[in-house]
Amino acid sequence: MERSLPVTCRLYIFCLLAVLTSVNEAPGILPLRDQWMAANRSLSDNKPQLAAALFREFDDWYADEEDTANPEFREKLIRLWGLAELQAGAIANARDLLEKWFEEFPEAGEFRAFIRFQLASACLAAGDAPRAKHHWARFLEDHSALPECDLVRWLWAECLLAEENFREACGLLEEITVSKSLPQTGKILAQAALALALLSEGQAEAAISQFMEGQDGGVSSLWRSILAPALADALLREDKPDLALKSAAWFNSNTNLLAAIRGIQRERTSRMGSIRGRLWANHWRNQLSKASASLNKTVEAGFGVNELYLLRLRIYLSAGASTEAFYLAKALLDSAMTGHHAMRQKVYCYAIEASMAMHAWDAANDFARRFLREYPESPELPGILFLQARCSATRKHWSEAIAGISRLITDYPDNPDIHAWRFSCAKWLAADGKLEDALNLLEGIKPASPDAWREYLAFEQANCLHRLRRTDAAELLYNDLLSGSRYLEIAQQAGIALLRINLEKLDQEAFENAFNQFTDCFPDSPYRLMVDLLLGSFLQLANRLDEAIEVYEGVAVHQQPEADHARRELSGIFQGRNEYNRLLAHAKAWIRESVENRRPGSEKPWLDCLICQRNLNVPALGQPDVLEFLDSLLDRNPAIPCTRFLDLLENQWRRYAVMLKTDHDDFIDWVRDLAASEFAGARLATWSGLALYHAGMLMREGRTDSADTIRIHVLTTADKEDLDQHALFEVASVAHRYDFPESLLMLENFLEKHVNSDMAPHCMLMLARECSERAESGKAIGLLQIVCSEWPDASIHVEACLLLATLQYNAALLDQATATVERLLQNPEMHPTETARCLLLRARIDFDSGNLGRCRLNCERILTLYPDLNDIIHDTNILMESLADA
Amino acid sequence: MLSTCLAIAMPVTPVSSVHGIRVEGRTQAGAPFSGELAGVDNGYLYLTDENSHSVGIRTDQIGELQPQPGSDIASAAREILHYREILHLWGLPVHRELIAYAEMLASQLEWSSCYQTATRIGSCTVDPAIARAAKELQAWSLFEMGLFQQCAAELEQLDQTSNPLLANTRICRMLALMAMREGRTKQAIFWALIPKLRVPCDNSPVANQLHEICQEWLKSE
Repeated sequence: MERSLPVTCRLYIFCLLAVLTSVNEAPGILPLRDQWMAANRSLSDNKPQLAAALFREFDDWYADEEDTANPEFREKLIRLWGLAELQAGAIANARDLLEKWFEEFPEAGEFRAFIRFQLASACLAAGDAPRAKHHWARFLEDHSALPECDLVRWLWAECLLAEENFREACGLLEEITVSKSLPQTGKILAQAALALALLSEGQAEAAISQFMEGQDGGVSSLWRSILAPALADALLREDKPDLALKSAAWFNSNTNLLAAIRGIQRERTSRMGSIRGRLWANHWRNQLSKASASLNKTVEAGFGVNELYLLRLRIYLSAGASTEAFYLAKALLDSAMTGHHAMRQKVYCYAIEASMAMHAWDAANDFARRFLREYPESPELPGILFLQARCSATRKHWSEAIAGISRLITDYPDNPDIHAWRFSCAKWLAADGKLEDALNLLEGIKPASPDAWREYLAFEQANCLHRLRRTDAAELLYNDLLSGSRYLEIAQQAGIALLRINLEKLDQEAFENAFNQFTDCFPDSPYRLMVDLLLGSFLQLANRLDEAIEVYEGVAVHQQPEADHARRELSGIFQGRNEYNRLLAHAKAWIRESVENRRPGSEKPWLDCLICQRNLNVPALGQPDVLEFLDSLLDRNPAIPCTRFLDLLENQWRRYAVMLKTDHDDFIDWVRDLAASEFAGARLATWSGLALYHAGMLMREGRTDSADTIRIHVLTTADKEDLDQHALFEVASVAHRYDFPESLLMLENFLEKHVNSDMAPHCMLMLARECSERAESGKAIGLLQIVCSEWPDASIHVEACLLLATLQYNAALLDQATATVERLLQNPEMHPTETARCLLLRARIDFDSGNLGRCRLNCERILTLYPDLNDIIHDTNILMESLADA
Repeated sequence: MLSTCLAIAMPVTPVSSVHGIRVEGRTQAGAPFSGELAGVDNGYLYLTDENSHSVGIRTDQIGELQPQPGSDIASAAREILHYREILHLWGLPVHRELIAYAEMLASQLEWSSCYQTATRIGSCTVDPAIARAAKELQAWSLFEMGLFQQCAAELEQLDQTSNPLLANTRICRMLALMAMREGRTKQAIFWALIPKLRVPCDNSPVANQLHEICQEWLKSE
C-alpha cells in the first residue's frame, strides 16, 4: 500500500510551486494556453489534485503540439505535473514523472537538488527504500556543497536504522558529526544518534566515547541522561563496570528530561523561516520527538527513578565502589522512596553485599537482621539468610557459616537454590578442614544436581580426596576432568592438580605424560606459565638443574608474577651451585628490568648482589650503575629499595665511596649527610627512607634513644603514603612503642598494603595489642589466630600464641584457650620464661574450669622448675592460695 | 550571644529615611485602595495618595496587599521587611522575592542579616515551600556563624533524615561538617556522599567540594 507524504512535506512543495508557477506562462493558441494557465492556477491556489488532473489532460490533448513538444516547455510540464502529483499524494505517479524528468532532462539544473530530495522522500514513502537510497546517493554526489547533504545522510541513516543495518548507519552518522556546516547543537544531536546506533549494534564502549567527547551542559547532557540507563545496562552486561559507572553519573529523572525536551521543542518551533529553514526545523523537531518517545520507552522499560537507583547500586557493586554502594543503599533504606517492598528488599540485598565488600561485617549482619524483622514472610528471606551465611564464610568463620547454611537447607528444602546452598556448604566444610563431611555432602548432591554442575562437583570431590591423601582416587577424577570436561577452566585446573600430584610423587613418567597432555590440550592456556613453573620445580627436584634453568629462564622473560617466581628459583639454583658470577649477572638483569619499568621490584636481586659481593669480595655494582641507582633512589623510583641498596653500599663502602666521589670515610656519616641534604631540599619522601636507615645504624651501635628520636621525627613529619614497606613498618612500630595516637591507623595501613610481607605477623601482633588495650578483644583474637595459624615460623609466633591464649582466657573462651596452650606446650623451642608463663596460664584455666587437681600439678611444676622467675613464682603462689581456699 | 550578634548586624532603618513603595490592595469589605506606603503605626497602614493626602487603613481590615505592577520588590525588600506588622499581608510573590533577597545576603556572606530576614519571612508565611526555604536559610546562617547547636536544632525541625536523598546539598554539607566536628565519621561521610549519589547527581561547586573533602575522610577512615 502506498504511503502518503507528511503534511509538512506537502506544504513545502506547495510553497515551492507557488513560486515556480508564477513564472511559467503558457504560450501558443488559446485552449492550450488556457489549459496550461488553469493547471498552474490550481497549483497556486493549493488545489494539487485538480492541477494534476489538468496537467494530465494537457499532456493527453496537447502533447503533440509544436509548442508543447519543445524540450524546454516539456521539462517544465513534467516537473510541475510531477510535483503536483506529489503534493496531491499520488506518490506512484509523482515518482514516475519525476524519475522521467531526471532521465529525460539531465541538463536541467534548476531545482534539481530540491526535486531529488523530494523524490527520495516519495520513494521512501512508497516503500521503495532501495530507490530512495539511490536518489540520496546521487544527491550527495551531485550536490556535495549543499548543507542539506547532512540532512540526506541523516534520513538515509534513519532508513538504515529501521532496517537494523547499524554499521552503515553509523558510518553516515559519523560523517555528520564531522560536518562543518552543521551547528554545534546539531552535531551533538548527531553524536547522540550515533551513540544510539552504536549501542544498538552492541558497541556500548564506542557509544559512551561519543558522550565523553561531548561538552557538558546543553543538549549533550540531556542526551547523555536519556541514553545513560541503557548504556549503563549494556556496559554492565559487557562486563565493563568502570564505564558503566561513568554513565551512571549521568542518570536523571524522566520528569526533568521530558521537561527539558519540551523546552527545546518549544524553542525550536518558534524559529520558523524559509523553506530550507523549515525543512531543518522539522528535522530537529522529529529528532526531539523521537528522543521524547524513546524516553517514554525507557520509562516503560522500567527505568524510573527507583530503577535507576537499583541500577546504580548494581553498578557500584560491580565496579568495586562498595563505599558508594553501601551509603546509597543506606540512604535508600532510610528514605521514603523505597516504599515499594520489592525494591526495598532488593536494596537490602545490595546493602548486605556492599557491607561484605567493605568488610563491615557488623553492618552486614545488622542489615540482615533489619530485613528479617521487616520482612519475616518475604520470598527474599532465604536469599538474605544465604548472604548472612556467606558473610560468615567470607570472614572465615566457618562454623558460623556452616551452621547458618545448614539451617537454611533444613528450613527450605524445596527452595530452587537448594543445590547451590548445599554446594556452598560442601565447599565451606572443606575449607574448615571437615573433608569427609564435605565429600559426603558432595556425593549426596550429585544425583539431584543440574547436569551442568557435575564437573564442578567432581572437581571439588577430587580436591577433597587430594587433601585427604587419597591420591589415587583424586587422580582418577582429575584425569576424567582433564580429558572430558566441557568447561575449559575446570579441565585446566584438573590438569594443574595432576601435575602437582605427580610432582609430589616425583613420578617422572607420570609427570611428563601429564605435562604433555596439558600442553597438547591447551596450547594457549593462560596458566601456561604456572605449568612451566611446575615443570621447573619438577626438574629441580629431579636434580636436572640445567633443564630447570632453561625452563625458568623461559618464564622469567615475561611480566607476570610467575616471572618473579622463576627469577627467585633461578637465584636459588645459582646460589646453591655457588655460581656467583652467574647469580650476579642474573640479579643485575633483574634489577635493571625493574628500574627501567619503574615498578616496585623484589628485594631478592639486591640480596643476591650482596651475597655475591660478600663471596667475590668485589663491588657488585659498577660505577655507572651505582650513580644511576642512587639518582633513581633520590628520584623516588620505586624499583630501588632504599634499605637493600644502602646495605650493598655499606658492605664495600671504601670502594663505593670512590665511585661516588665522596670524601666520607664513614658510611654512617655519608647517609646522615645525604638525609640532611634531602631534608633541606624538602624532599621528605627520600629523606624519610635515608633517615630511617640512619636510625637503624645508630640502633646497631646501641644508640637507641638517638635512633628513636629520628624515627619519631619521620613519624611526625613525613607523608605516610610515601613510605616504602620497611620505612612504614619502622614508623608504625615506633608509633606503637611510644603510644602515638596514629599507631592503630598506621598498623592497619601497613597490613592493608603489605599483608604478605615478612613483617606482617609482627605488625598483627602490635595491632592485636592495640586492640586489646582498646577493649576490642574480638578483633585482637582474630588477628592473633591468623598469626598463629599462618606464620608458625615467625619469630614472634610463641609471643603471639601466648597473648592469644591470654585473651581467650580473659574472654572466658576456656576451651579455645586450652587448645592454644596445649599447642604451644608442644613447641620444643620455647624459652623457659615462656614455658613458665604458659604453664601458669594453663593452671589458671584449670582453676576456672574446676580442674583443681591439674591446676595444682601445673603450679607445682612451675615452683619446682622455675624458682628464679620471681614474677611468675609470685603469681603462682597467689594461685596456690586460691586453690587452698577452694 | 546570638541575639547580641544579630542585633548588631541587622541595622534598623529609621522610618523617616524609607522611600515608600507604591502599593495597592483591598479591604476585607472589598474597597480598593492604593498609594505610596508611608508607614505603619498603632495598627494602621498609612498611604500617601496622588494628591499627597495621607490615608490610614486599619491593618486588621486589610484583605489584600501587593506592590503596584512594575514595582521593584527586590530593591524594596529592606523596606518591606521593616514593616513587620504587615509582613503577613503581602502575597506569595513578595515572600518569594524576600527569600531571594535573603539568598543574596547569604551570597554576600551577610550571615546575621540573612538569619534575621529568613526568620522574619518564616514567621509570617503560610506557604510550606517558603517556610522551608526560610528555615534552611536560618540553619545555613547559624552554621556559617559557628552557632552549631542552634543550627542542629533548626535542621532537626527540617527533618532531613526522613528522606536523605531529597535533602539539598547545602544541608548535606552542614550535616556532614557538623558530624565530622563531633567525630561521627561514618555519618559525616554519609551526608557528604549524598549529593553525588542521588539521581540526578549534583555537580555544583558546593557538591564537588564536599565530595573532595569526603574523599579525604575516606582515605583517613
